[in-house]
Amino acid sequence: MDFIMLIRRRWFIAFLSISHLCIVWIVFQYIYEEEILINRLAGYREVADPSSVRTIYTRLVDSGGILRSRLQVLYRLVDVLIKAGMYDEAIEVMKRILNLAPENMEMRLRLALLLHNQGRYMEAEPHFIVLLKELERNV
Amino acid sequence: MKGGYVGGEVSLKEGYPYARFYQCVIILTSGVYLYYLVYRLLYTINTDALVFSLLFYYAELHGFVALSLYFFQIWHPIKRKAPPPPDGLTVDVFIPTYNEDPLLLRKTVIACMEMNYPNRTYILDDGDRTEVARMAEELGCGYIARKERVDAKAGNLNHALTCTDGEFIVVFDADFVPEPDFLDKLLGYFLNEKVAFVQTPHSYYNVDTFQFKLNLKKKKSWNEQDVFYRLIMPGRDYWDSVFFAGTCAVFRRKALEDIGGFATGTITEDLHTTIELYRRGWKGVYHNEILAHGLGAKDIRSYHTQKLRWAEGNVSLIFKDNPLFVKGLSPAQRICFFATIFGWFIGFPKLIYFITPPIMLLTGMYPIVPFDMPFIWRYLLFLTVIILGFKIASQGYGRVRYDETYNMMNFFILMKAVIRNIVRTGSEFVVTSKGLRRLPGLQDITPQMVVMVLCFSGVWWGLFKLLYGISADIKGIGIAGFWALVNGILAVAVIKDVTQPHHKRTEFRFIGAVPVGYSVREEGTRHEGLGISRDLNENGVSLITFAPLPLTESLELKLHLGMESLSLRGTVVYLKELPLPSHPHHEARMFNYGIRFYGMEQKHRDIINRFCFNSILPVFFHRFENRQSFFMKMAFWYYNRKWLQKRSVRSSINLPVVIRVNPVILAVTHDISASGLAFVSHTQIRCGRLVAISIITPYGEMVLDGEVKRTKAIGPGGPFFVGVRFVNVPEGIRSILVDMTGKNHQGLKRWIS
Repeated sequence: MDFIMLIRRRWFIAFLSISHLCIVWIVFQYIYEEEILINRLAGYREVADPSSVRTIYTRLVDSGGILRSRLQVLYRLVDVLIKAGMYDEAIEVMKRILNLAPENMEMRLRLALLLHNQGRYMEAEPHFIVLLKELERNV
Repeated sequence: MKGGYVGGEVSLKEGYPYARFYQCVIILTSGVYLYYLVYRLLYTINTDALVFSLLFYYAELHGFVALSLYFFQIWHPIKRKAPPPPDGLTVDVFIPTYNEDPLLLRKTVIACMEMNYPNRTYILDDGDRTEVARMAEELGCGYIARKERVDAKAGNLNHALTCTDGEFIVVFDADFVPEPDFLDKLLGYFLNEKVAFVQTPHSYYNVDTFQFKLNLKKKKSWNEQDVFYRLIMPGRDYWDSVFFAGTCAVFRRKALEDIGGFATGTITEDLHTTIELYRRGWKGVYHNEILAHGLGAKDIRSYHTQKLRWAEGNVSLIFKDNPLFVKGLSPAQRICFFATIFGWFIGFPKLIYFITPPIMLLTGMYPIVPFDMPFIWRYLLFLTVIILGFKIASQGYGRVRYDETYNMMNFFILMKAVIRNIVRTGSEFVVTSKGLRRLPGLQDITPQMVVMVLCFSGVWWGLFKLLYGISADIKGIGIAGFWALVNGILAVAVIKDVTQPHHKRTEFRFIGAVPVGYSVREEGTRHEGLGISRDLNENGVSLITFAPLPLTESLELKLHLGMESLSLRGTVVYLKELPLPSHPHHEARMFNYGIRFYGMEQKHRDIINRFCFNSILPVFFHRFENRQSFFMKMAFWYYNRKWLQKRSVRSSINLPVVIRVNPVILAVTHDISASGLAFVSHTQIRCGRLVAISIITPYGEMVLDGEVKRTKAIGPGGPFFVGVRFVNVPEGIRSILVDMTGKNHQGLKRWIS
């Protein structure tokens, strides 16, 4: 049958639409595999398998350029890394987030506190200074 | 602007009403667009995705330039009316043809020869066909043939110029059928010695193609070319920048000889010829009244072939006769002709608009940053003002939805035309096919399918991102998703339009109702009655009757075509009973028969064709003439709503009527209510006359008395639109009329309106 005649058939349109949806979903699952996993791990109370977190961390952070559009995923990664006790990695991710979004004061406070709690006072200080300046500006 | 003879003109020149109001709208809309563009440039360019952001900005900038050029052209549209033409002018009518069907050509030739003003009609046959030569001999028109097709249409016309000597030349494409008064209305313009040509609008009569959007119920029609021929061209006339559009134009031979004939070496000889004429100080005039009807492209492939030729030819002006730089044009003419070229560059920005939302959704890259509330309210203001401003300034001819659908249909072809011009691929004059409609191939709709798949993929992708928590940007994804959805729907609309199933007739059936008498003999009994046509052409008729016909081999028909009655024989090839709700006391039945004529003589075919073009078509298009702008519609709605509530409902239902005057008139109702009816008559009836009327309805024949309240000529010398008010309607008939024309009775309106 001619394809042009076929595309006017309702059943064929339904078949194409469902196939299209399935293909998009499969490609989506493949491309956002890490993000989907992170989101799942972020929902758990504790991380049972830190090695999987490390693998995701390596793939996401070491793969180079991270776009602003992926910030949401990095926020979740921070939560997961802290839950897994991987504080150094969490600090690294937070720094990258602040490079991309320096206006995110909540993340800056979390980073400053984490650095302080880890005894890395010298590194925490500049962040506290920025936070105080921002506080003064708002007051 | 008050009408009058302006600047040494011999024609009456009059501005459109409310011109100042429309000009204010144009200034406001342009101002808001400019403000938006400046804001975008200063605050919202995304440096993280600079190329993408700048490309999108280019698309918006292109839109601004295109809209400004459009507004410039429609700044002050004018109407013209020419004085009556002097007697004794010699007119040659040229019908260039190459491979068009001789039967199609025949209609044009007959109509040209039957124009009221004396003329000599010539077929210019580049195909050098014997059957066309024979037809010319039979009809008594001139026949000029060429052995070699040098310079295509322009060469053909130039060759004919050397073989003829008329003072004026009329050019009609093989499918354009003129109305009888075509020359009477145009030749008067040439009393001004500087006028080189007069152009009239192109109108297509095959309204069943995808190029038309018809709503018979709301009396609305839309054709892609309406805005150009009914608004832009009258606007360009104000700037003295009308151009010859290839057909339906009259030329002064002296002007053509002054520039060495029609321009050659190009595939759009019309535009090049026009520029040459203006450069030599000649004038062009636009007469904004449809006086000829042609065949539009029947399928997407023919349509794209035609578009590609026009686009390539027009874009080629940049490299040859660039209107910005050639000598002899006024600044306004330069702008108008540049606008003509610029319009064909819209393919690239449209592609950017179509694929931007899926790119945003699929990659997360935004061309606009920050996508925050200050930007969003500015954008919404911009969008609202632009859409409303465009609609209002377009005075009822601009439809954003349809325009965008056509942009979706054409963007790829227009891009192709520009690229071909840049790489300088040689092009040849391809005649637009006027034959049987062909179904599109996959390659004809591939660009739209790609856009559709991309857009819907983007929509799913955005939803998955929100669903899986990959992104929390509900605002950005929401807007991009909505935009992608709109683009996807546009692509679907194009694919649906161009692949729609279609009848397999070679000839278009003219939509219109004429009284049709029928007679069938079955087993010694003769069944007779009066029905109406739904559509008609030289090959057949779609007949509506209110009683079943016995199915026999042969049917005797009598078509009442105005002043003429034609007896024919036909065969039923299709039958359907149309469902109707019954009246409590009367049974109602209605049938639709598809009938093919047989055993017809050529002269009968010619009579039907003549009637279709001269009577059915003007009445059909008359329905859609009352085109109001968005602003006027709102104003009328406000003032008329109470007035309308007081009147009884007039329904546009076609029913056969017999007006018992001397001689008896057989007609079809244009509209009917419980208090009166209107019909189209080919005989004039004076106002105030009392008449007896028989109305044939699905509920039986009704005989009533009425008084003629209104008579108005639709065309020169008829037909006439006659309004009748009933006198003393019996209660039984009144209840049927109220029921039949009431809002709840959709049956009749659906089938015979």
